[in-house]
Amino acid sequence: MDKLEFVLENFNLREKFLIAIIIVLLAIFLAFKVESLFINSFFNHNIFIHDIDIKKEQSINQNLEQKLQILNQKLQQIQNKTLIYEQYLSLFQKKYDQYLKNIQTLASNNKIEIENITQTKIQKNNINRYDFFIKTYGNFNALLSFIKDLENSNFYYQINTIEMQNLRSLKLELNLEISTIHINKEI
Amino acid sequence: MKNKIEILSFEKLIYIQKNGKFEEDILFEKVIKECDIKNPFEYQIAFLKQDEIYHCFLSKVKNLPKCFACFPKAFIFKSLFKNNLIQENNFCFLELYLDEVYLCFYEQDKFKAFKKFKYEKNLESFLEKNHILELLQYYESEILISFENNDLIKELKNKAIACKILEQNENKLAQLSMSILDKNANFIKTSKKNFPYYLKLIFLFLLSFLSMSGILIFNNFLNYQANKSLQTQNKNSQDKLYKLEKEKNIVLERKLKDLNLTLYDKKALLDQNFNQLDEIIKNFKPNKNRTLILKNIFIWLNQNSLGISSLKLKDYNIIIQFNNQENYLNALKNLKTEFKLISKNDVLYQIILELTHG
Repeated sequence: MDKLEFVLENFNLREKFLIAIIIVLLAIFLAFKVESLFINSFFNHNIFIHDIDIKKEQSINQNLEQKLQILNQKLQQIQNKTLIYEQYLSLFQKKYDQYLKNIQTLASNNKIEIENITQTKIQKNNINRYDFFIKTYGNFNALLSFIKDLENSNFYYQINTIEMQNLRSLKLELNLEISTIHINKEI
Repeated sequence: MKNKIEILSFEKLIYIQKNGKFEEDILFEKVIKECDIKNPFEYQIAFLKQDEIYHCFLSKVKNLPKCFACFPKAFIFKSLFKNNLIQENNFCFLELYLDEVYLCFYEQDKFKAFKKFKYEKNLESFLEKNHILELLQYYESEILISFENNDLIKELKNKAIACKILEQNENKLAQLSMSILDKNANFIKTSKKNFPYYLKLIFLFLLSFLSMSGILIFNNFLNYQANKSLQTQNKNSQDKLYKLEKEKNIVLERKLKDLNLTLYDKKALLDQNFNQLDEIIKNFKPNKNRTLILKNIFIWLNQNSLGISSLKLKDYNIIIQFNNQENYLNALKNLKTEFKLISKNDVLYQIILELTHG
C-alpha cells in the first residue's frame, strides 16, 4: 500500500486529475451497472395488474354474445319460415259462411240455380274440413263456367267429384262434391 | 492541536543529505541507519527534495511542539526569495548559537546545503579552519544574512562580504513558508499521513458511486411512485371494467333467457304451422284442371258425335254412360290416347276411363 501511495504521490497534477476522472467514471459505470442489476429490479413495479377475472368475464360475455347471435340467426330463420307458412295458412282463414256465400255468389253470377247444398265438417288438429255437396241445374256452358270460377276463386276448393246428368230436357243437373279448409285460429 | 506554526532551532536538528529516489519510510530508515540511531521511533524527519538530493533533518519527537506545522529553521528562508524580501539570487543564512555556527546556503529559492561548525573565539582562525569564505564563494552567495549582528558578522564584513540583518523575525518567515514548503518539510505528519492519496481516490470512488447510485435510486423511486399511482388508477379502472362486464353478463344472460323462451315459442308456432300445412298438403289438393279435363272430354264427345246420359269425374277417373249402344261402341272405337279404358259395361253402355298424365 505504501508503494502504491508512493507511486501515486509521485504523479504530477495532470496525471492525478486523469486518475481521479477515471475513478469517477468507473464509479458512475458501476453505479449504472448496480442500478440495472439490482436497484432497477427492486423498484420494478408492474403497472399492470392481473386481470384474470375480467378476462374470464369477457370470455363468458363473448360466449354469451356468440350464443345470442346464433340464436338470433335461428330465430330469424324460424321467423322467415313461420312467415312463409303463415302466408300459406292465411289462405285458409276464411270461415264456413264466407265459403257458402262465395259458392252462392259464383252460382248466381253464372245464372245457375242451386237446388241443395249440404255440408259435413271434420275437425282435426284445429283444422276444419268442410265437405260441400251441391246440387245445381243449368245449361252446359254456365255449369262449366261455374266450375271454372270455383277453380279460379280466391277461395280454395278441392273439387272431389263432378257429376253431370242429362235428366231434364232443357237443363243439365250438376252434382258437385267439393271440400275446403278452415284453420281454427287467428293469425 | 494548536493552529500554530513553529520552527525547530538548529541545535535540535540533525542534518543528513541523501541522493536518489526514496519513499518517505525508506528514506527515514536510511537516514536513521546512517546516523546510527538506536531508537528510530523517537525521531521524526522533515526533508526537502531538491533535484535528486534529499535534504533531511531529524529531530527528537519530544522536541516537537504540539502545533499545526513545525519546520526546520533551515527551510524557512525559502520564503525570502519567493516573497521578494531579498534582492540577491544566492544567499547564505548564518546563525551563531552558543558555541556553534550554522550556515544555510540557498540558490534563489532552492535549498542547497547546510553546514554546522564549532565556534572559536579566534575568528581569523575559525574562518580559515572551516573555509567559510571558500564555501561562500563555492555556493556563489552574494549576501550573508542573519537575525542578529555579532562579532562573526562584523568580521565577515571586514572581509568584504555583503551582510544583512533581517528585519523579519523567524515567526514571520515561518508563516510565509507555510504556503511554500510541502508536507515533507513539516515534522508534523499526522494529518497528511492519515489521509493518503489512495484513500482519497477510494473516497472519491465511493462518493461518486454513492452519489450516482443516490441519483439513480431517487430517479427509480420517482418512477416507482409514478408507477404505483398508475397501478392504483389501473386497478380502479379495472374494477369499473369488471363491474361493467359483470352487469353486461347479467343483461346478456337475461337476453339469452328471453331469446330462448321466444325461440321456444316461435319454434312451437312453426311446428304448429308446419303440422297444419302438412296436414293441409296431405289432405287438401285444390285442383285447377277440372274444367280443362271436362273440356277435353266434351271436345272428344262432340268430335265423335257421342251422346251421353251422364258423366262423372272423380280425381282422374271418368265414368261415362252413353245414351245408346251405337254411341257406346263408337266411343270404344274412337278412344283418345290420353284416356285409358279401365272397364266397360255393355248392358248399361258405361265406360270407365282413366286420364293418363303427361
